[in-house]
Amino acid sequence: MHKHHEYTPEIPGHVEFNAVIVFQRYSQLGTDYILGNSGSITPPSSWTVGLSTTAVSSMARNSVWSATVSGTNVNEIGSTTAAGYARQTIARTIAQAGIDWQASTFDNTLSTGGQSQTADQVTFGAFSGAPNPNGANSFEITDGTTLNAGQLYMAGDTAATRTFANGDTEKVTPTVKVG
Amino acid sequence: MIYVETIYETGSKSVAAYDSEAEARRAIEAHHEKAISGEPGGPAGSYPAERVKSALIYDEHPATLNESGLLPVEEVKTQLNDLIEKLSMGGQISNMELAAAVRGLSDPHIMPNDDESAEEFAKRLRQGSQYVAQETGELTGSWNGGGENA
Repeated sequence: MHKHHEYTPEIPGHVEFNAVIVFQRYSQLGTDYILGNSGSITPPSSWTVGLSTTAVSSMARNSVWSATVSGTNVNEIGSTTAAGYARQTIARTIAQAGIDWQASTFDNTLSTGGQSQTADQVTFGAFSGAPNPNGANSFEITDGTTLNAGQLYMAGDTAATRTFANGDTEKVTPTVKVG
Repeated sequence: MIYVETIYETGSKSVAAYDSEAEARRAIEAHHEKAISGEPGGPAGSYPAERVKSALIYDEHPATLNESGLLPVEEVKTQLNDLIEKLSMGGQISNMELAAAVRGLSDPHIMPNDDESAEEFAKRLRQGSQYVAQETGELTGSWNGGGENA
């Protein structure tokens, strides 16, 4: 079974497909949790969304969150100076809680199809100035609220580097496709 | 550090971390002013800034509630009994539905009440926090006619 996903950002009337990656933990949920009913490899109580300075091209399936800029580490913005940055949450429900997952849809195309699910849009900010580090190049589906910590599940590049300043917000709409 | 959940007039919400209420007020007022001026909300420039409805203060990120998944035993026993009563039908219960409901016990987000319609819940959610955690206060600023908190 092959799994892949795509990121569709919130850009009205226009869709961009940016580089994406599925990390080991999400794949492991498909094996150990779904197939094997694991009690330790389980989804989190709530998904969280983070922003990092690291582009997907620098990541690996076994990347980890880290403040150390090295190798395939994923470095979260705002870890030294938050300036308003914090992770946002997506509830583990479908069309029920405030920000959660919309009903999934099916694409029966043999080669590129699968089941897709889009989350409600999350909003970061308002920033009080420049976070440090600044310059978001990707967003991550992760867990927990502690910066540079927690499991990594999926990531996708932002359309361009986002450099934040006082009063800014940022919006991310993740779409996951499993096929 | 404090956390502030900003609730926008559009219904959007965000959680942000600040060193002080003054810093939070500065940031949120700046965004509110962008909205009043019709400016973009962020560096992407692809969406407008949103007017602020309210800003709730927390000592911790409200999503840390039950983050570990560990819950008090007595609380789980009580909620489990309620769930069994709610989900059972004709003397039987789906263990899969029950398992899903039990997993939801540690969810930090508010859920619809049993006697609440989808429209009522949507309205409640739009006007208030999306989290179960209780805020410690509400921030005042230009968006609600206030300034520095007393």
